[in-house]
Amino acid sequence: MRGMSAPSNIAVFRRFVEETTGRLSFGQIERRFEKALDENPVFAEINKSGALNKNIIVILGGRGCGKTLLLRYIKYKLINENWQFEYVNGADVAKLRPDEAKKRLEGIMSKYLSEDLMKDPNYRIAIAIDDVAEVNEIASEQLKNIIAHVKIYEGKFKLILAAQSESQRTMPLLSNTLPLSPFAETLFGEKPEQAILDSFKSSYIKRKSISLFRGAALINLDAYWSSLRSLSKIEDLAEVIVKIVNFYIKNAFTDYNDGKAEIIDKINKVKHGLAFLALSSLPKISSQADNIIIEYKGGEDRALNGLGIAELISKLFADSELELQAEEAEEFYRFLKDVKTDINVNEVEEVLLKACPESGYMTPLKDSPISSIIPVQILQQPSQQQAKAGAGRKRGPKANIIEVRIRSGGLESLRYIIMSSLRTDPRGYVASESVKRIGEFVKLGVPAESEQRFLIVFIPTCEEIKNLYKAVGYDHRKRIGRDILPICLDGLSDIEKAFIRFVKSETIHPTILRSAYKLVIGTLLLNLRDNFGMPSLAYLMLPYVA
Amino acid sequence: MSGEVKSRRGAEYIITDPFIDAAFVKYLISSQDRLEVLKRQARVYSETGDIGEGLTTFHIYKNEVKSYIINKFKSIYNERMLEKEISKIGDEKAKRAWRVVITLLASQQLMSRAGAGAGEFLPKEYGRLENLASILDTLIEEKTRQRGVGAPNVVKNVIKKYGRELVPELAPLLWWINLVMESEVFEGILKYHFLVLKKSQALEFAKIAEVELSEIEGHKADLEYMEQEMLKGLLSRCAELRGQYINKLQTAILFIKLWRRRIKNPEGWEWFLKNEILTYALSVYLTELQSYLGFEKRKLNISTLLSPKSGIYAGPSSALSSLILLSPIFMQYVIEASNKVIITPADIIVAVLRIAKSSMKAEDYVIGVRNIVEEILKFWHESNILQRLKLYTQSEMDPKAIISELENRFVTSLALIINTGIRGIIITTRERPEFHLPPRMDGFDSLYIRTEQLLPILNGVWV
Repeated sequence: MRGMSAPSNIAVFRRFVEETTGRLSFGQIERRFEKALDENPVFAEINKSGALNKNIIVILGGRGCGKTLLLRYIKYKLINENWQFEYVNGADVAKLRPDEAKKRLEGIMSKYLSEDLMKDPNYRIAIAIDDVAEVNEIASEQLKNIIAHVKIYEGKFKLILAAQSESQRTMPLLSNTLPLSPFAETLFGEKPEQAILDSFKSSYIKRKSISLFRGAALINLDAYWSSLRSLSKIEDLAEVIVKIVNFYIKNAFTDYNDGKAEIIDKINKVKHGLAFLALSSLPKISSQADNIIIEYKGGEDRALNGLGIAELISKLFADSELELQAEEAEEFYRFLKDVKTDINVNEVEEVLLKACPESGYMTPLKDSPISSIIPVQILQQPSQQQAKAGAGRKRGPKANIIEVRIRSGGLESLRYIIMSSLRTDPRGYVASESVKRIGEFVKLGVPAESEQRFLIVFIPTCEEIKNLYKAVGYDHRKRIGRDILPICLDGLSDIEKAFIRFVKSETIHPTILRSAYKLVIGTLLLNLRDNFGMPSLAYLMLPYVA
Repeated sequence: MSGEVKSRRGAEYIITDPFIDAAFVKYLISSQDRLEVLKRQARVYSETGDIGEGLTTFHIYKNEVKSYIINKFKSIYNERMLEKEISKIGDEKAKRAWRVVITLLASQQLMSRAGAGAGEFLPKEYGRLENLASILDTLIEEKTRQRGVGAPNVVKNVIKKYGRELVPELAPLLWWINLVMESEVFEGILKYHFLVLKKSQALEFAKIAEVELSEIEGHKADLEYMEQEMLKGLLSRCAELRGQYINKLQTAILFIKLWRRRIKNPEGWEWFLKNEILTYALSVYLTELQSYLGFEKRKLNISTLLSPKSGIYAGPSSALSSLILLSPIFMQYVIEASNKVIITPADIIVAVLRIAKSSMKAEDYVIGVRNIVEEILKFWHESNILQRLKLYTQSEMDPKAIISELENRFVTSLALIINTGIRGIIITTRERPEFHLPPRMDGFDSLYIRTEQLLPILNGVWV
C-alpha cells in the first residue's frame, strides 16, 4: 500500500481520529499517542504552569475532556525525569467488593511505598489513580492514607488523581477526603476544603484551569476550554484546533511527510469555521446546588473539549453537510470580525428569544401577560382602585418570558425568565418608565426564587446598577443577585455585538443559523455577566447533565 | 373582667384540635411541587429572612386548604360549625403551617450546612419531611374514622400501629408542628412556666390556704392535692381556659404531652405541672435571653420567633430563631432517645450573655470552654432545669462528671451556631486545642466573643 495518493492519507487520518473518539483504555491511549506529546496545546499549557512539579496533582473534567490522555502525557514527562509511573484504573477497583478494594489499595501501598524501596536514593514513584471518585466511595480511609504518604515521602512519591466533574461522587472526594487527609494543610493551604472547593467552583467562570497550592495542583480541564469559549477568542481556538490536528497527524502516521499537507490545508481553510461550530455546543451544569459548569460530550451533541473537537475534525472529512457548515461559518466569521456596531438592550432580549427554542428545552413567550405564568389576580389585594382599572389590569403587565423545562434527578419542573431592561434615552438618562416597570414587577411578586421565576434586568453598563437599586426599592434590595439579576452589556466585545446584530436580523446563511442560535446559548450567555462578573443568566439557561 | 377576656375563654375545640392542625401541615407538604418550592424558600428564609408569605404558592395553598379541611373533618364535626370556624381561623392556621414547614426545612438545611448536629441530636426521620405526610395522614384518618374517638386514644392507636420505636423518631417533628400551630396555647403555657420559674407568692398560696383551713374542725390537710389543683388553676388562667376545661388543653398540646416515651402516665397533669422540660426550657430560654437584652416586657410569642425578618441581620437572625426553638426540642429528644443530657445552642448563647453581664464585659472577651460549661450548669441550676433533667436521665449530675460529658456535646451545638453564619462567636486557642469543631475539626479551647456582632443578630430575633 506504499505510495498511496492523498485521499488514502485522509482515510488513515480520519480512521485514527475516529478510533480516538471511542472508549480507549490507558494502555491503548499510551500506544496510540507516543509522539509530539509536548506539542499538544493543552499539555503545553499545563507543563508551563509548573503543576506537574507538585506532589499531588488532581485532574478534573467532564466526559471527553481528555483526562486519561493527560495521564498519558504526565507519564511521558515523569518517566523522562526518572520517575516510575504506575497507572491504577479506579473503575476496576470500584468494581471489587469494599473489603477487596481496600486490600487492593493497601497492596499498592505495600508494593510501591515500602520503607525499603524508599531508602533507595534513585527510587521515585508516581501513582496515578484514574476515576478516583469511584474508589473514594468505597475506600476513602485507605485513599486518605495514600494521600498522607505524599507528605511522608515528599519528593519521592507523587500522586495523581483524576475524576469526572459531573460524577456525584466527585464532591465527597473534594470536600471530605482530600481536605480531611492527614497533612491536608501542608498540601492545600490553611483551609484546605475551602481552597479546593473555591478553586474548583470558580475555575470555569474565571477561565483559570490550573490552581497551584502549597504542595498540590488542581487542574480543571474544562476551565481550559472555557478560556476559549468566547467569540473574541475564536482565533486562539482555531490555532488550538490546528495544533490538535498536527498532534493527531504525527501520531497517526509513521512519518510526517508532505502527503499530510492536504489535511492541514483543508483544516486551515475552515479553522475559524470549525471553531465557530465548536462554540455552538452547550456546556452543562453538573451540580444544581453549586452551579458548577462543565464541558461535557454526551451523545450526538457537540462539545468544546478534546473529544468534541476530535469528532468535529473527523466529521469534516466524512460529512459534507458539516463541511459546508464549516465553510459558511468561516466566511461569516471573516466578515464579522471587521464589523463595528453598537447594540441596545432590546436587541439582546430579542436574540435570546430567537435562540432559545434551538436548545430543545426552552420556549420563548414573547410579549406575554404576566398572568400567563402567575395568577396575578390572587396576589393583588382587591381594592377600589383595581375594580376601576378593569379587566385588563387583572392580567398585569406584559413581558418577554423564556420558559425553561428543567429535568433533574428524574423530576421535571418549569423555570421562568422574565426579561426587562433599564433603558437609557439618547442623552444617557435612564428612562423612568423602565424603572417604574421593574418596580411594578417586584410589587406583583413576579420574581420569586423559590417558585423559579427570575427577573433579568439588562443594563447598558455596570455603572448604572444604582438605577436598579432605585427601581427595586429598599425592602427588596437583598433580592438583587438572587431572583432579580442584573446583566451588564458593557462586557460584550465588538465581535459579540456584531454577532448579536446579525443573529437578530437573521442575515446569516440558513446553513449555520441554527448553530448561531446554539452559540448564543452555549457561548454568548457566558459573557453576559452580572455586576460581580457571574454569568447568572447562563446558570438559568444552560442544561443540566442528564 | 372585660368582655374581651371572657370571650377568649372556653372550649374552642375546632381551633385547638391538633388533628386539624396536622391536616393544615399535611396538605401543604403532600404535593411534591409545593415541597420543592418550600425547600427553596427555606433556603431564602435562612439567608434573607423572607419567609415567602407573598408567594403565589402560599396564596393558592391558603385558598385550597380550607375546603380540604372541611371535607376531611365534616364526618366528626357539625359541617356548618366547621365551615364557620375554618373561615375564621383558616388564614391564620395556613400561615402557621407555612411557617412550620419553612422553619423546619430551614433548620434541616442549617444542620446539614453546619455538618453537625442532625445525626447526634435528632433522628434521621427529622430530615425526611416526605415521610411525615403519611404519618400525619394516618393520624387524621384515625381521628376522622369515627365520631367521638378521644384524641389520646387516636395517638395510642397510631403508636400501636407503627410500633413504639416510632415515638422518639417522629417526636421532634410533631413537637415542632404542635408548638407553632397551637402557639397561642403554648404562649399561655410559657406564661405558666414563667410564673413557676419566678417562684412567686402565688405558689405559696397553697400552704397558706391549708393553714387557714386547718382551723376548721374535721378538715384533713392535703397539701399535695391543694398544690396540684392550685397549679392547674394557674395553668388554666395562663392558658385562658375555664378551669373545668383543663383536658381540652391537653388535646391542644397533644403531641407535646402524649408523645413522650419516658413519661409513665403522660395523660396525667402532675408531671407536666412540676417536671415538664420541653416547654419549660423554652420559657426559660426566652425570658433569660430577653432579660440580658434589656427588654422591658417579656415576649413569649412563638409566632414572633418565626416571623419574617428584615434588616441587615435578617438571615442570621432567622437562623438563630430556628436554633432557639430547636434547642428545647434537642434537649427533650436526647432524653427520650438516649437518657442523656446535652448542651443546646440556646444554652451557649445564654451562657455567653451571662458571662458578659456578670463580669461587666461590655466589649469583646475570650472565655475557655470549661468556663462556659460551668456557667451553663450554674444557669441550669438557678433556673431549675438541672433538677428537672435529673428526673429523666441516667447522667451523673455530679458537676465534674457532667462537665466532661457535656464538653463533647457542647461542640456540636457550637458548630450549629458558628457554621450557620451567626457571627460574634469565634473559636480560638489559648493553651492547647483540646476540642475540634466539625466538619473541618479545627482545634480550639476557648471562644472569642464579639458582643457587638452577636447582639444585633440576637435583637433581630424579636424585631
